[in-house]
Amino acid sequence: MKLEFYVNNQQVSLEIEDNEMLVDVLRERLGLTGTKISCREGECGSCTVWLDEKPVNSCILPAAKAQGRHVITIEGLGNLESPHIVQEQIARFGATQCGYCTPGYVMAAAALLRDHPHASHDEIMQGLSGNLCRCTGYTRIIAAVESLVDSSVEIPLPKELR
Amino acid sequence: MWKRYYTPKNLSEALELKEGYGKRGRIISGGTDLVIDFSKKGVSSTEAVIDISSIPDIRNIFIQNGELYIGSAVTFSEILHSSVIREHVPVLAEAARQIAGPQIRNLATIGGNVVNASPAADAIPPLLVLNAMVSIIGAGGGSREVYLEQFLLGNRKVALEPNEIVTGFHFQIPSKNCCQYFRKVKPRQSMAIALLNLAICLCVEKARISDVRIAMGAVAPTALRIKTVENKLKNLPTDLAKNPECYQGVLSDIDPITDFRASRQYRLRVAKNLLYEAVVGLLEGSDQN
Repeated sequence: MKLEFYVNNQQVSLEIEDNEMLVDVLRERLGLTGTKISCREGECGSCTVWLDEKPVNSCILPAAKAQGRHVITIEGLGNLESPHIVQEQIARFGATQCGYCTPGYVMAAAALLRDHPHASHDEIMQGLSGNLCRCTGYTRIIAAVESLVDSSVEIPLPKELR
Repeated sequence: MWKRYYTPKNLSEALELKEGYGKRGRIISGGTDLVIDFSKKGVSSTEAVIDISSIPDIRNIFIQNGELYIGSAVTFSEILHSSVIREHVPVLAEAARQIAGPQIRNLATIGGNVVNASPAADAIPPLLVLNAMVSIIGAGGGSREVYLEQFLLGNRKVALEPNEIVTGFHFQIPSKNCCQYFRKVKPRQSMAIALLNLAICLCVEKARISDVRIAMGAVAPTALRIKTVENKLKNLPTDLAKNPECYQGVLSDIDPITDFRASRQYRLRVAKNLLYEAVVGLLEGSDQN
């Protein structure tokens, strides 16, 4: 099938199999390997991307569902040269060890702070509850996100939605 | 894995596809359960997937003639953030809040949760205590309605014909003097499947229980109403309803299994204790009002 959608605000058009998952299209066909695969059953959140601004598990999302829609991946949020503020805080707080879950956490946390700039501790726990980290014990991840509450977090929006 | 993936723009297109493919075509919505099922089984008999999650007609929440309507493709995030649902049916908002995590709630739909018919489905007990009707559309566009209680036939079995699609749910909005309650017993705060879930809608008038509906999940092949206890409590003065004896009947209504999540004995004990604690808590809350 022909899939036409927006990835990190860029229009993309490509031929895919009807049964491909979004994470595979992103990683294998578009080379966006920042999005990770771990459980492949929607349990761990490593594959989190935004679909029309909402965090979703791209490992159980048939790519066909993204037809005509906007996908934002970790690459669209920030990079080494110009990191997103959530990435900066994760680094500053040492909130990462092996780093495999980190892109998913950044995507979940950035959406959470965008929607709840004054998030309470409970709201942060809820907002990050779809992600698993097996190294850090969570404390520093939560502290890094908490440090951004009430700050003005710049979140890139798909152009059409501005 | 499936070979074709369709995203019909309206219900008639979806029905046509379903009729064309018959058993080889499966309706899917958020896909958070089914995509995993289809992927795990290797060579599955599902040839075509018909995704109804973006059909506008089944994505609404609205009130009409005192009834609340929820389209089958409404996601749990949308339920959780709907001011109408939070105001009128907190029991459903609370169930939605406790389902999985944010990423899954952004995809998973209420229709999918009900039709998938897991005994532990979190949306079903709240809909049972709201006495919800299921709206169904069939080949040719003919529609029918059935009470959710009759729609649930067994573990992952519902009264849906091969060429039918569930379009939504509707129910009378509970009156303001009724309290609503949802509790999910689970091994961790998020991403957990219920060991047992409990929904209650309890109405008190003049220190008497005027109406009560109780439903439990993960204690039988389907979520079910706890009618023995409902009948015991109905019309009872609230102070008499604080007697633990009133709740003994739950043990004859449910028939839990032992599995890797919990034992039958555990579920029986939790069912009785939790129901007692919940109803008495609601009654004490209503005493203060």
